[in-house]
Amino acid sequence: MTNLLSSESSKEKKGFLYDWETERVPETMTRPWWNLAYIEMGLFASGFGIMMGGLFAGSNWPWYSILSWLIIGNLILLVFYILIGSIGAKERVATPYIAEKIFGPYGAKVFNVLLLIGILAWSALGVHQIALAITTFTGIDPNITPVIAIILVLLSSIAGYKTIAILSEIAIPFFYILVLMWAIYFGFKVNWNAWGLNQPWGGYWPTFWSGVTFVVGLNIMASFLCPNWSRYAKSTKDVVKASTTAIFTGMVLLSFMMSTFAAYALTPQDTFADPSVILTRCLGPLVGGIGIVLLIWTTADNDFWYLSLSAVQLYPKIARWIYNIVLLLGSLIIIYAGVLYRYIDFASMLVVIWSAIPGMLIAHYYVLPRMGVHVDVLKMRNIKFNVIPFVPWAIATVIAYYMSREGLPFPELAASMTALILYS
Amino acid sequence: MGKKAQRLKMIRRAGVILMFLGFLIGGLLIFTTEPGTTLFVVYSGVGTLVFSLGALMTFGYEVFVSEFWKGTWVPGPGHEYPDDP
Repeated sequence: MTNLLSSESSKEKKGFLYDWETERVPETMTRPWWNLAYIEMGLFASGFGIMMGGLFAGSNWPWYSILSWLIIGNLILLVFYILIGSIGAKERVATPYIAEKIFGPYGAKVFNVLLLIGILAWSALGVHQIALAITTFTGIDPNITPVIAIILVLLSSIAGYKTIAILSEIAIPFFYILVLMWAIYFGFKVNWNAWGLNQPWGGYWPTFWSGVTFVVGLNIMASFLCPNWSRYAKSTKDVVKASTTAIFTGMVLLSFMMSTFAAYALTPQDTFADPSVILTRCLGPLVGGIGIVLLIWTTADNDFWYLSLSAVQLYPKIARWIYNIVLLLGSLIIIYAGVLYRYIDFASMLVVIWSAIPGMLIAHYYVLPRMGVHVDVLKMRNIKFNVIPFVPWAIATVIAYYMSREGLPFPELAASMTALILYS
Repeated sequence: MGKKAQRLKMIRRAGVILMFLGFLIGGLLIFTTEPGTTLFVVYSGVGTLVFSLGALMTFGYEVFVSEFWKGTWVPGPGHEYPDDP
């Protein structure tokens, strides 16, 4: 009873903005599986889903091939999401702290700095896209809209899971019921000849498996970030239910249905599958504008949430929400300085390093314990900086780089498997 | 069941009705229109607003409880509704 009371008063003190960033999420703060699925769906939504629909619709491949890519690719991804998500449900701490179990507390700081450098580019891009969408739909000066976009993202990411959940609880039912109905509506009106015409805005996939590689490569890296939300799960069963629902509705259903919008909206004169153009032409400036802002917003707030959790691991004495504000202001500076797209070029090069991490996480939590190695081995031996995982990480990165350059299928999967085997 | 829980259940029930209304307007009536017409814009716009409000009341019902804003309670398995003081 005394423990319960002290835990309650401690919760009072931590307040609304606290996201359990430095300690285990308590049982009383866990969320239902459907709520976890909403968070994950929000991350997957993004304008990229619509753009992907555009790429698919003009790709010169029949619809059943595209659907097969999505199903096969996402089944592979689902294995990673469930295995790594379950680690979060078991440990109840965020990815930056799980990294400590592999790299040690100081080694994890290297990992988190790289994560901050890499993901900040994409997070700033999300803010920039929201700003551009607001300018397009309202005519507000593009010098002002980045500030509006920052305020929106701040509102939904300031308290971490709590505020991200509020946005997702509104946006996800909207996407999966109303937007889906509209996709069916446009399905009856679409010029289905757009399929297989190899449109200028379509993607180029020479073989069936290059299409599956595209689907897997997009999202395998995001799997190691799953513990950031799955730490709020009550059980691994909830993670399985949430991930399966999110992946198959978010990636398969939404991406596939979005190609209907793209096939309706885009013409051979369009050279790029621009999500804003696709939704505006289909739904008009008001609802199309709300749709595109919500799509990008639900992804951008997840990005800043993840970034701020990594920042906390670097220096835990500062609260996560303060890092959140600083990172948002940082992205504003990047946008106003006009260096965003050069930064994204750099972050795109950096992307190749992430494929190894899911493999090492799976090895650490599922393979090593079977070999008699405890998951907390570094803590037990008081090792602060573990050099060992940096070796398979480097080798797997080189493999992913060369496979991508040579156009071989599944470079990310190969890198992950290499890291898994070498680390084990 | 406490008063708070009962009030929240009513809010959620009203939310489901609003979502259904929004679905009727934005999801079904829209099939009677052509893209880009005034009726299309009205149905999709009103449907979005009504449906989104319903979604907030149904799924995001925690926002109607002061304990949530104090950071002492969130809805979850085994603790779907806050206790009365």
